[in-house]
Amino acid sequence: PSGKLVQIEYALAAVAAGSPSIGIKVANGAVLATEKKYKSLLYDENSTHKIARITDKIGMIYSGMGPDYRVLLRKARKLAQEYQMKYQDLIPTSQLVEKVASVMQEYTQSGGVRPFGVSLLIAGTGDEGPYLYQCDPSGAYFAWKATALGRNHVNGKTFLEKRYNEEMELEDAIHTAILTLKESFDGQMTEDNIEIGVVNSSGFNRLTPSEVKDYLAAI
Amino acid sequence: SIFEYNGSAICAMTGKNCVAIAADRRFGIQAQTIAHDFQRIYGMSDHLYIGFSGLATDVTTVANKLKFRLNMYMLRENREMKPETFMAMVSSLLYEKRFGPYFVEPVIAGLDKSGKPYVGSLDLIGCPMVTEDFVVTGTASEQLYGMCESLWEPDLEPEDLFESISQALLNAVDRDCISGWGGIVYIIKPFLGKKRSYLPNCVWLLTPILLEGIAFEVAVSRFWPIKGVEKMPLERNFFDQYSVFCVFGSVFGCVVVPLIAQSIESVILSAILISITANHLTRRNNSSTEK
Repeated sequence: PSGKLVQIEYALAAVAAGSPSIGIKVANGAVLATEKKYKSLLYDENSTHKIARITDKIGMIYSGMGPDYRVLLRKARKLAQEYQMKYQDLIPTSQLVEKVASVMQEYTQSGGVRPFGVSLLIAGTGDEGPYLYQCDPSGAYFAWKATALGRNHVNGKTFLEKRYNEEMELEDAIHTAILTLKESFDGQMTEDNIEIGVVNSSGFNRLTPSEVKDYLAAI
Repeated sequence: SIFEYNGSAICAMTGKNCVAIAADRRFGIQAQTIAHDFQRIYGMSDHLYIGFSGLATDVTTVANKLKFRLNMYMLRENREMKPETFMAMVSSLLYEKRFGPYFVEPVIAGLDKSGKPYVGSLDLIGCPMVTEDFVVTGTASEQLYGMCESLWEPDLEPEDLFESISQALLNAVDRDCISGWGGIVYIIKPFLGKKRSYLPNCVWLLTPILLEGIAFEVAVSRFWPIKGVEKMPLERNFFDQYSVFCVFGSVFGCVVVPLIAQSIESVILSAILISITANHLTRRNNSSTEK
């Protein structure tokens, strides 16, 4: 026996076929970015969002199956609130990631369910500083300085390896994230077909289309 | 009343960068005193203490459950728990039993990471109360309120805080028949770091030897007291002739150095060296009297 759990392999394949997402962590914050391309002009891009807030200080993005993502998002939000109810204190990013990863692992070992077809990028800040974590369908989680998920993630990671350095500021990180997305983007990148979320000392925020437009103009 | 079954008195006070928590030690069942060493105050971590008044069995049970939850938190989160968070956790634990509560009324005293004092208390179903000055609980609570109100003042140093809280407790329990029979006080101060030597211990061991050697060299080269003789013959016992300088060297090395180094090894070595020197001095004196 090879030791592979094929259901998890299939889930990872679903992730690798999904739209690209990028996460970069720097000294004073973190950036999450993703491609949000729709097949037809008739889609209303700004009614739904991929980058989501879990708490005031933690945000999340995914690559893979959207519906599975939304289930995990609900679970993550509820877990964060339960923690807050018990301890009257905001959940640290690492704790939330452990809880979410634990949920994902459950679905690889319970009867009648399949693993989630998403890999999550969770970025947050707190007393400990900024963090960027990836959660895989298997339930494994990794802390990253910078990473790419989804289509073209190999090229994305190579690009980031060259471009990333520890002394980057948040503004440089946003710029680099956009450039990394551009590597795997066909067509024109506009403020309506990408989404950017930023974690800084005051918390997590998704950028509005007009803010994204300003960053796109700078590249 | 179930709170008057065992009887208790606990109070906590804030001081200048310190907190104190005190409790009586009586364990009794209604009128009968069974023991006078009952533990009501539990140290949850270095800077977080909680005391419980009320039913003795619930005191131990809730303390153990809290320690369990605190340990799990510290293992998961790899950090110390803040007093505010601890308060929330106690409140949550007690409210879980809202319709069949634990008959305890806890008092929390602690310092947060920056050393800021924190005191608070809760009722049996977890209603938290945080105050700037003091908190009291137990069958002697009314008496404790009176005593603490009179004796507490802001910014008491640890020694003065100890006096205040002790007198508050002692005199309050003297007016309550089911609390007393001894008291225990915990003063919690911030951890200021271990006293450390400025150099590793081995260096402190070598210093007295080095100083002895220097003293000897100085003596050999400059302070040769015997007229007409250029150099001391090597066969002679060095210490006999220049014991004054050796004593100086060893006293300096062996008394001053351990005081600075604060380590037991240098003290032991100093004792050995001083005894060797004293031994030689005695032999020198003996040999001169023989002459």
